[in-house]
Amino acid sequence: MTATASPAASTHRVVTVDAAPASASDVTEAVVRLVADLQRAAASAPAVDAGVAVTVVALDAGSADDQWGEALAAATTGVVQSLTREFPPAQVRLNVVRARRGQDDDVDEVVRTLTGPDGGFFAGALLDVR
Amino acid sequence: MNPAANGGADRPLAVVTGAGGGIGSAVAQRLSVDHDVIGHDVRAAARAAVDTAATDPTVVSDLATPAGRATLAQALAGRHFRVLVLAHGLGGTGAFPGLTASYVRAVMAVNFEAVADTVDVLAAHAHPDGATAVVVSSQAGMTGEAEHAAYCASKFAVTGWARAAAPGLAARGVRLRVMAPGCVDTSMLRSAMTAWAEAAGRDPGAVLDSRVAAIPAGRLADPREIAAGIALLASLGTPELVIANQSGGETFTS
Repeated sequence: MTATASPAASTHRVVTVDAAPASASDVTEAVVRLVADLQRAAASAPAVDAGVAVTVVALDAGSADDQWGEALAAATTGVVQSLTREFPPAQVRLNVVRARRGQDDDVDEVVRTLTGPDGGFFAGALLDVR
Repeated sequence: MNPAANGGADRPLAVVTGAGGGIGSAVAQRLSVDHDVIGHDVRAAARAAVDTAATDPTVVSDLATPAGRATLAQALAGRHFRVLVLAHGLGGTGAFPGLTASYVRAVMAVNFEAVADTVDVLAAHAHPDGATAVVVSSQAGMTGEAEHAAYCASKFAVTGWARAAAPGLAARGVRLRVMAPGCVDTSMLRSAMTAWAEAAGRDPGAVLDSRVAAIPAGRLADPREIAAGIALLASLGTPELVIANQSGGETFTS
C-alpha cells in the first residue's frame, strides 16, 4: 500500500455563504442560493479531471444559540458532504470552512492548504476555525 | 387514532406528524397503547395502496405553512401534549446538476421548516409538567449521500437547528430528541430506490439488493423498530437534547 500525494488543484473556487438567517425560511433561501452558486461553479470549471477544488466558506455571527445560523451551517455541510459522495474526491475536492466574519487571514490559510498538494485527502471535511 | 377511542382525556396526549404511513404510522400505533394520539399528515391515507401500514390521520394540513401549523395546534383543543413526534418527510433524490431551486425549496420546506416551525408553535401547548419532542431526521443528516444534496441539506439543517435550539426549548418545557434512522422499509424508501434505478437505467430490485448489502445488519429496518427507538427517546426524562441513530451499523453519531 502506498500513499501518493495529490497534485495541487489546477482550479479552485471559493463559494461564500454569508447570511444571517432569522427564520427557517431564511435558511431555506440561503440553501437554494448555495446550490445555485455551486452549480454555477461547476459549470464554469474545466473538465473534472483537471483537479478542481471548491471550498465553501460558511460565515456566521458567532452566536452560540443562533438556531438558524447553526441550521444553515449544518445544511451547508450536508450539501458539501453529499456532493463528495456524488463526485469523485480525486477529481473534485469539496470542503467547508466555518469562520466568523473578519477571519479572512485564517480562511485564506485554510484555503491554501485545501487547494495545495497537501490538501488532496481533505474530502467533505468541515474545518471550523472560529 | 381517534382520541376518544383510545381511552379519553385521562391518558397523556401524543401528537405524531407523518402518521399516514411509514415510520409515523408505526409510531402512532405504538404510542396509542398508552397515549391518546393525534395523528397528522398532509393528506388522508392516500398511501394505503402502497403502504399496508398506512392509517388515517386525525388532522390533515400542510405543516410547511403557518395555517397548516395553526390547524394542528387548534386540534389539541386546549390539551397539552406529553410527546410530539415529527415523522413527516419528503424524499429528495436527484443528481446535483439537475436540482432546481423550486425542488430544493420544497424539500427544505417540508423536512426542515415544517419541523422547526412546528416545534416552535406546538411548544406553547407542551404539558406544564414537561414534554418531549422527537424529530425524525435521517442518517443522511449525519453523513453525506450521493444524489441527495437537497435531502442532506434539509436533514443536516435539522441536526444543526436541534443542537442550538435545545436549550431554549428546554426552558419552555420541551426536551428535544433527534432520531436518525438508516434505511427503513417504507414506501418513501422504495420510491426513492425506484427513482434512482430508473435514472441509472438499472433494475430496481438489483439496486435495492445492492443497497441492503451495504448495511452491516444485512437488511432494511422495519418501521416498528424505529418506532420502538422513538418511543425510547420520548421516554427519557433527561437531558435536554439526545441525538441517536438506528442505522443497522451503517452510520454512527458522534
